[in-house]
Amino acid sequence: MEMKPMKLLAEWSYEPAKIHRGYSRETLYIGLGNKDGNYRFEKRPVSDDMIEKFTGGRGFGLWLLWNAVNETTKWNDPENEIVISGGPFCGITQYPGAGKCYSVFLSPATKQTYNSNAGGYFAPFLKFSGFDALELQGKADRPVVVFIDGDNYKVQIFESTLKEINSYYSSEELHEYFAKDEEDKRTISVVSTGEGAKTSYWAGMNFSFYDVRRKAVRLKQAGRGGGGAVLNDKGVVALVVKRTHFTGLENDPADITVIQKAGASLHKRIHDYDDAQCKMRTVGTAHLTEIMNDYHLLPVNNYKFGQHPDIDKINTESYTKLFTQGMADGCWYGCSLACAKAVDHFKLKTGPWKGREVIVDGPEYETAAGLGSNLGIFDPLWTIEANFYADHYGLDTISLGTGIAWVCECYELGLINKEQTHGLELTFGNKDDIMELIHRIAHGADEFAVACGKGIEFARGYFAENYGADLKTMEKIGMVGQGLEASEYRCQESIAQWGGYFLTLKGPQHDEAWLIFMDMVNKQLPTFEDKAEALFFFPCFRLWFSLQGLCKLPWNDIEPADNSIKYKGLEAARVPEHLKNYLDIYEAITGKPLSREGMILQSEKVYNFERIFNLRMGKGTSEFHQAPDRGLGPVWEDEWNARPEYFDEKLREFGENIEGLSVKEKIDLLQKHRRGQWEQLKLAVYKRRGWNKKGIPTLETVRRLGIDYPEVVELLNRHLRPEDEFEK
Amino acid sequence: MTVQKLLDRERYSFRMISVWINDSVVDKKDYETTLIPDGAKVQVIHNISGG
Repeated sequence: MEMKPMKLLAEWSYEPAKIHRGYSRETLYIGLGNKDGNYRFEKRPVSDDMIEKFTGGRGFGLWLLWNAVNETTKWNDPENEIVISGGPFCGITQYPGAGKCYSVFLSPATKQTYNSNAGGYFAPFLKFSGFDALELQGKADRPVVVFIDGDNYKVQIFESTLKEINSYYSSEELHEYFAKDEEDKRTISVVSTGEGAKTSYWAGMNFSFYDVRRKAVRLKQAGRGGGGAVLNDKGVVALVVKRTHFTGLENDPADITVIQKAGASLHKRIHDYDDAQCKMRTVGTAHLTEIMNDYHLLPVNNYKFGQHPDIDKINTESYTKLFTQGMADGCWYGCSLACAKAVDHFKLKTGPWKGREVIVDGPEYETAAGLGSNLGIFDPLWTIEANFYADHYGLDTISLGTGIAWVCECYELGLINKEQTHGLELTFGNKDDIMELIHRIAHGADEFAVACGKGIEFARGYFAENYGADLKTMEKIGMVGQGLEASEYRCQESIAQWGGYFLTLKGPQHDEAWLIFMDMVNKQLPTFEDKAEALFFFPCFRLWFSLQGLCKLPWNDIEPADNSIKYKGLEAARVPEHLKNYLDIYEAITGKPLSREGMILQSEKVYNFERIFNLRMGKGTSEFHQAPDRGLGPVWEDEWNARPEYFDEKLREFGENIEGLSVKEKIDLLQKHRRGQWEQLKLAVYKRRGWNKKGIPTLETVRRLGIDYPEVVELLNRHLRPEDEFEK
Repeated sequence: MTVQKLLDRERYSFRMISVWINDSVVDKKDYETTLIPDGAKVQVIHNISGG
């Protein structure tokens, strides 16, 4: 350990609340002051209304943030908060995937709320320490480490003596600092970011857990939305929580036997079928690369193409060989899906840790594609190195990959040049220069790198103003929505997935709805009403996990062997047996029965509240739901010519006679048709969600959901117009 | 055409597929031998979860 003893700046002792039926009914507020050293600590009660309307996790985060900020609050104002919360399931050990939490904050990237999930030990330990949520507000007067001592029921703020803030370094040091001995390191979890947070809006937060077999820190990411930039802006180098003793009954469930039975059955299912299904235990989500390639869904060269002949270099087999097998790679106790794969003894070739052997967490599919095929790079070792440094620097691998892919296309189109890039030749596949750009973004090395690191929306304005780059072209090819870069699936050929990306609350992150196969391949959503129904149901269903403290992977990345035989269509997609597990476990924890309808209602309240919150922050209307041309179809001729018969047929389906048309004319015609479909989809979805034509929740909807707080009604009354209502 | 030939033609390579002919499911072990009748309604459902 290198760090010197830290000076204690503030300390607060508390009486811990006992958890009952999944809730401690208290949250922890930490005020950092406003660079004046006025640290403040408070326990705040969780009301019945808060549970009834917001359930937990992301819901609690949104409610607490709503009450902390006002309409003019910016992401880097002291009033902004980071709220971290798990939910009633969080911390159970009998059922896989119960270590999740959501971090909620005003985002530098999207300029509205963002919520980012991470697995690991932090949220369970926070809860066992007595808190359903942590609110962090203000700005410290110096770099600080916040320590929540769940063994001695104290919260302490220390002046950081860490010599660098990058996550693998800071997390290892802090596990060492706060642990009594080697074995004690597993009782600690650290939230940190990296130097990328100083200038990049792509900076996320890393949540650590200690891998006792490897004797090393592992990191899970709340990567997206810029939460790391907010943490850094507050002067917080790390949040640390420690909790030594806990049992499998810590949540004080109403009926542990139900949870044990459901868990035992799922463990057996994972044991028996994972190898034949998704192979999560051997390769995690990276099993998706060749599947996406087979169906033209793998992003290649900034989403221009969906397939590549070098796919075998980055397929399941390639990554399986690199991941260490047979390790207990679950990110919280009891998760036998164990998909947090790692590469051991990886020798870095570049950067400040060149020559060092490290453990690399991942890559997961998003990173394998984003820091891989989307950059025209089919070299797993390169991707693993990029993955390591992204995590270490605190940079979200998805935004980094999609953002740099866009920069590469700008370079190849001649919109930016080598002088402007400070000597980097940013062509697709140029591994050395792209890796160098990653380092420069993290270090804030020059104005070009800083612009890139603030995201596509910022960078295209910067490139237009400073380099004379054509803004319209950059807009067409930028896979970004509401300020957030798209995740790593080509949505072009699935109308439903246009919505799954660009009609979301927070931007094109696929955690609302992943409908590509259901729509494009299975053809289970033939009409706009079918698509709209799916874009109502699945976002609500997936949001439910974010309220509870659950990972969604055990829901449908493992299925009963007869799931698709016993059930048909959308019902099969719901994996009814696992859905029933969740409903049974919810009642077994909380003592309150929950139906499928009740599950959706819990989510619908939070979904609409989040939409209203975005409206409050000056967003949240249909003008911010935009899809780029690249998201709807080919932009350039080489994209069309990669699948000419396919795209010709698409035009014929619109009744077009394409005889004699040039490829450019065909592209323009297809884009025109698809824009019309996009507008049609938007209205169908808004109507189904109980919104008006501007995408604003109606008074009828908020009253039905019971979220008609006076300030909500006042806000809606300022924005709702009779002429924007749908006909009844 | 057999079910397997149809899957090969469409390049449906995903492992977790279920095939229905006229609303009856076809067992995976029978893909090579099950013929698709003329005019039959065929559904190939990919049970894929996504990221």
